[in-house]
Amino acid sequence: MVFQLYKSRLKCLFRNRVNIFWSYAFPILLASLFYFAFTDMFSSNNLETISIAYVEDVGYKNDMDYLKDVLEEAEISQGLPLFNVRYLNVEEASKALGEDEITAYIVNGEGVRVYVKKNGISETIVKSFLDSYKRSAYTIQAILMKNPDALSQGLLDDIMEYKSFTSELDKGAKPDITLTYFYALLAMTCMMAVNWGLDEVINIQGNRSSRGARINVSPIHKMKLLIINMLAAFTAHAAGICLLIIYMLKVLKISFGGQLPQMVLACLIGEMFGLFFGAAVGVWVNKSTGVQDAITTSFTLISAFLSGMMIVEIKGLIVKKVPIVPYINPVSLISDSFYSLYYYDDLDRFYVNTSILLFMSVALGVISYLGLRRKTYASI
Amino acid sequence: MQVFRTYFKIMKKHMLSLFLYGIMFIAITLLVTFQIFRDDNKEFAVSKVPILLINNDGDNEFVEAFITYLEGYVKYIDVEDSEGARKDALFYHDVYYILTIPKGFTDEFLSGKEIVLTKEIQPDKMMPVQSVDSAIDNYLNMAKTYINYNSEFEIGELTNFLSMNPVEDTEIIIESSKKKSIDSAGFNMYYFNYMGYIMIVCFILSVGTVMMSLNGLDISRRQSVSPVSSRGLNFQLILANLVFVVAYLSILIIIGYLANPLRSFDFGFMLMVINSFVFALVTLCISYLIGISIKEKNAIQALSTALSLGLAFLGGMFVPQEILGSATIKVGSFLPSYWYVRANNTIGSLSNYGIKNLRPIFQYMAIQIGFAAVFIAMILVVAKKKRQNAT
Repeated sequence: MVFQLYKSRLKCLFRNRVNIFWSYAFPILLASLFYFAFTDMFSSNNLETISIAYVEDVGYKNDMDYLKDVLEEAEISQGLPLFNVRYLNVEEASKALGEDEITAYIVNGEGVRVYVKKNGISETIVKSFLDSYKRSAYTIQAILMKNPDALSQGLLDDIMEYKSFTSELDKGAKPDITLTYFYALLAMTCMMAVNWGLDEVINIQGNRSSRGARINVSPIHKMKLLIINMLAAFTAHAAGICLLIIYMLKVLKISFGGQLPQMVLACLIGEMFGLFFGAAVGVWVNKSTGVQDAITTSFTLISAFLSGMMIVEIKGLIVKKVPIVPYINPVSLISDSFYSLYYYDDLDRFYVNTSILLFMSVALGVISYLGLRRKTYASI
Repeated sequence: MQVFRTYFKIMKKHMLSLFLYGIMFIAITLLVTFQIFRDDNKEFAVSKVPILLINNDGDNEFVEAFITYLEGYVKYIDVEDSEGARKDALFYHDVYYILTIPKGFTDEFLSGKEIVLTKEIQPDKMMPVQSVDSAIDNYLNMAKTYINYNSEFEIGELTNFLSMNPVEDTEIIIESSKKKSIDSAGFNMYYFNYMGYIMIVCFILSVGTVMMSLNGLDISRRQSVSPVSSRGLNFQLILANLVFVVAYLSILIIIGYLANPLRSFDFGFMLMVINSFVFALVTLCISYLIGISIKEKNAIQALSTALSLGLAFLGGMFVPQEILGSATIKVGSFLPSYWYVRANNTIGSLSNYGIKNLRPIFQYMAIQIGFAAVFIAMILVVAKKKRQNAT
């Protein structure tokens, strides 16, 4: 009997096309869009050749000035020049700057001046390149004053031989902020169980729906049926989450740090929270279904927003300004669990997050139960 | 004009969501305005890269001089002293670079041995990271050369040489006359691109739902026996749709104009307005098509969310087209939103309004009109089929 009820409830749930769309199709669609939009976002931000113009002041002549040659020869890597230099006069250069054809133009005369249009990294690179050119020239001068034979000892080669003095520390997972979007999306999908939880308690309360009224006059124990229905909702929704996880892992190749069991655990706890939150709203908010729907939907969306799903910087901002919020925001707790699985070596942070979430879910479950138990209707 | 009035009676029910989308839109653009103002410096400032410095070598003259030198290129950020806090700071772009000076660095470096500084970097920010790398390498290479050619040196002499380096920093001048209009166009570009998304959501939601209500089987049958001619009916519907779209769009454009701190009513702005009306025509056609082919209100809601996000993401409304992947761009070029954004971006970067520069913009608009034509053809087919079913 129990299994029969469970099965028929599952059938009902799968026929609810609205819930299926929002919990199955919508997250997959959004994940694909995130993937298209964000994956290439940071991949092409290595140094690129910067277009500049070189203007020589009329009348300026210095045989020892190699700036022009150095600009031409500077390379980012083998064969890839740092600058694309054009030789213009001041008016042409200014026009080219205005039309965004060049990033900066350098006027070389008594002292080097650089004209740019805005502050930025490319502009800074032009400046630091010129600074370093001047420094090298000065270094040569200073060394020659002390050691006049330096040139014959290979000073110029030494100056040219440019050594790297930094080496990167390899500490496992690379920081990748775009993951925040995917983690928050998966967390939000778990939270979307609120609507399912809400539906279940509306369907069981006689004063809320005609189906509830029907159930209340049927011989089955109401609490037993609710548990069965909730289990069915849990199963149907979990299937959607599994689908999304498989899609993210296998198709989009999003990295979750390889700890699949813990990740699924976090999802299931998050889903449970969603179901019980929806149930609590359905039981305790004595308003129309529209209002209840609005509460659950806006709660989910605001939680997702605060955990960085729409604007990724929000998450870091919230952690700094209101550090308590991530500990009570369910979407943050779930997405932060994924984040800690991916990025941290130990699981402490993961367990803190999931424990808080579990505790809140149980509390909501108890609250919903208290509101529903022994509810009878004199007349419906 | 009964049909015309009925249209707006039904539309009234969606006012709340239209209003909410509008408010959300305006709030976000205000945030952007704030951002533009914050970055608006008249003076040139080196873009200092936020880094975390961990000095395990203790304080000595050489390291101190190095840290002072780096200050010209980086901004030192304090991070709580724990592995977790450091990792978070790097992940969330609080710092782009964690530089560790290892123990014994000074001694080994000065004695000419091979030693390097260790770094952890934020791979999303390669340009700033590389600029820090080159600042460090410049300094240490210079020091190394000096050491090589002055075998008997004192550390004070070296740091003096490195820091006293009488090279005054290169003079940087911002050509500010070119700034204002660029920022103004930048604001408009952002605003109009994002407005495309709002148009899709709101038009599908409102026009779609109203058209759905008016196209129900029973309603169509009732209409076909009413004294209002079919032509009159269509005329009123088209008029109502146009009035709604023009009104809603005008409100958004006026607010956008007023919110722009550097507003100027120039030709570029006019072009963007025209472009937005062209795109509104396309969205109106899409909404109309959805309205007459979908039977369920929930489905329209789902479609408006899915379509608007899809068109916005793939067309480059949220993430700028320049940083979208090439595959995404290819898919995007089959969508009207892509051409709308492309036209806006081109208008935003216009420096003069010569015919050579304007031609691509009109081409992009023409492509959008082409999309509209395709949708109109589809509308005609669907409408005819529906009419046949109704009779």
